[in-house]
Amino acid sequence: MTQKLYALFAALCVLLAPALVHADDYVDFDPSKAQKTVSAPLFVIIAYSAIWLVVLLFAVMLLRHQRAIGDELAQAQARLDELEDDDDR
Amino acid sequence: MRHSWLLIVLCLLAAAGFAAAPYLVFFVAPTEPTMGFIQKIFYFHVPCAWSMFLGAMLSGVGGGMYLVSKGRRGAALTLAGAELATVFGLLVMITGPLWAKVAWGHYWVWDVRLTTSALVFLTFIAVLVARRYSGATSARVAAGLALFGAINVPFVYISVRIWNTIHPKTSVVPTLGPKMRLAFFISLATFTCLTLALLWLRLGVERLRDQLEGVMLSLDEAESAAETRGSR
Repeated sequence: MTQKLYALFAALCVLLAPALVHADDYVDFDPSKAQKTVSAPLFVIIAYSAIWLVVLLFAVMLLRHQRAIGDELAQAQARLDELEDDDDR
Repeated sequence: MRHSWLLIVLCLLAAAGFAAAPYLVFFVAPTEPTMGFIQKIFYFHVPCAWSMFLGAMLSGVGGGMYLVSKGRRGAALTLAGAELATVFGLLVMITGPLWAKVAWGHYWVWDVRLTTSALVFLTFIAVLVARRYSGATSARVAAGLALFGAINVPFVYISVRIWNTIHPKTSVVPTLGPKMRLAFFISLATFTCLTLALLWLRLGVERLRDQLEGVMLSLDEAESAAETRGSR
């Protein structure tokens, strides 16, 4: 299933690449015109929020991953100690 | 869970930096006259790019170490650096187009700096995909790709000097006013501490995974020995 999803994603990328290349032709820099059409403060808020959100998610994911492996390690170690105790008897 | 004092110091510095940097960016540094308020993205966009480059270079160093020695440390550094390059690369790819839309009127243009940055970002996604799905040779393929990605980093940096580009040049930083420079360097230091702290944590996960593999192997041996004794 995962492989099929990756294949679908790859196919979409290949199909969309030419469209993306031609989607945005180069236009001369005109700050006065550009700044009137979009809200700069909104874009700044989105950019800063994205940074904090992505960094926070990554850090939480790392800590959860570390805890999960640590728990698994503790269980495996306990089972190993148990077997070694049985072996000694 | 035990963490080293270095990790704690890095986390504290990053936390202090994240508290101070937005104040400096929004209340101390003046608004840039040409681009206006949108230029405030610069203070976090450039440090994100710096963190992406740091992750990419570390991943490349890990890749080189792995290709030479086949050691677990090299493989772990390749993976950890590639994850950081991908996370911070994603942030560069989010913040850059937002800035570009206001400054240039377009989210994306096929400018050499933007294109080479996207190439580095995609290369490190490829490293992660290769590491996960390339089977027995995954560590080797990922190491080779990481080395290739790291070699691209200097080209991204010097691209604005060599080619004609609309992206701001690297020479813009020394021309910043003192308050702008303070905000920028505090942000840069904050992201450096954050990147190193995340790298440390990620390498810790790999160390734990190695320990787990070792214990699981011993457990398998002990269980099969116990079964053999039981069958007798």
